[in-house]
Amino acid sequence: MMIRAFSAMENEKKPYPDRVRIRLILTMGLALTGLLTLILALVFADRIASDFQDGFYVGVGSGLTVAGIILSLMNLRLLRNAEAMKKTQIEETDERNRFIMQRTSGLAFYLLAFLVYVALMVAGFFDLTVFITLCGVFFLMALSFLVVKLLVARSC
Amino acid sequence: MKTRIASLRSEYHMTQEDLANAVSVSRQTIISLENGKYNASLQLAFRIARYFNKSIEEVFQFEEEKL
Repeated sequence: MMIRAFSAMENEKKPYPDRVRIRLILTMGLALTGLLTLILALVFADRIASDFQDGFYVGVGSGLTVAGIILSLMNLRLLRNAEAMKKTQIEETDERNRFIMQRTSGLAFYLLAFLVYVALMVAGFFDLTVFITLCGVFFLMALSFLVVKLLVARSC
Repeated sequence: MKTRIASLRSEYHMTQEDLANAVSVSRQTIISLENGKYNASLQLAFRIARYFNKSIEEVFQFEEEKL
């Protein structure tokens, strides 16, 4: 979904098949990133601080590789099947779907901000490190909201 | 917003799927427009009106929102 959003943001005015081609390159990049992470985690396993972190890298690497391969195959299928491409294009560009996504993202952001705020308040009673970390998260969320809002406002 | 999409569709003997394909939206969007659950963008309103050879006002009935 993030790859779709990224390629859509970059190439909104490009013809859809070109956008799918760009998306194919991005998904192949995703698979390669995953593979690289996996290889690094396996090769340098002894240098990674803990088993948990090693497992994390292996998990993320495998996940990205598999997701990248599956998404690449899906994009390849679209490039070879005009009917499937038309159907996917309608699904992706459908204005109601976009409206639902925009509304969902907006509401999810406010919900997340509220939950982080509640966690921050609770954490203050128990652990200073968690409290400071959550303060940072809350500040970054607010900052990214303002920056994105400014960017979007400039493009309208 | 009220629309005449459903009656125009039946005049033209079209299914929701046919109209959806003709104006490049999903069938669910046509359903929501017909039920008044979703308001079409200006672009989509034009596409639908032009498809039926009507003006926008003939297809979509604008209702002033109470302030």
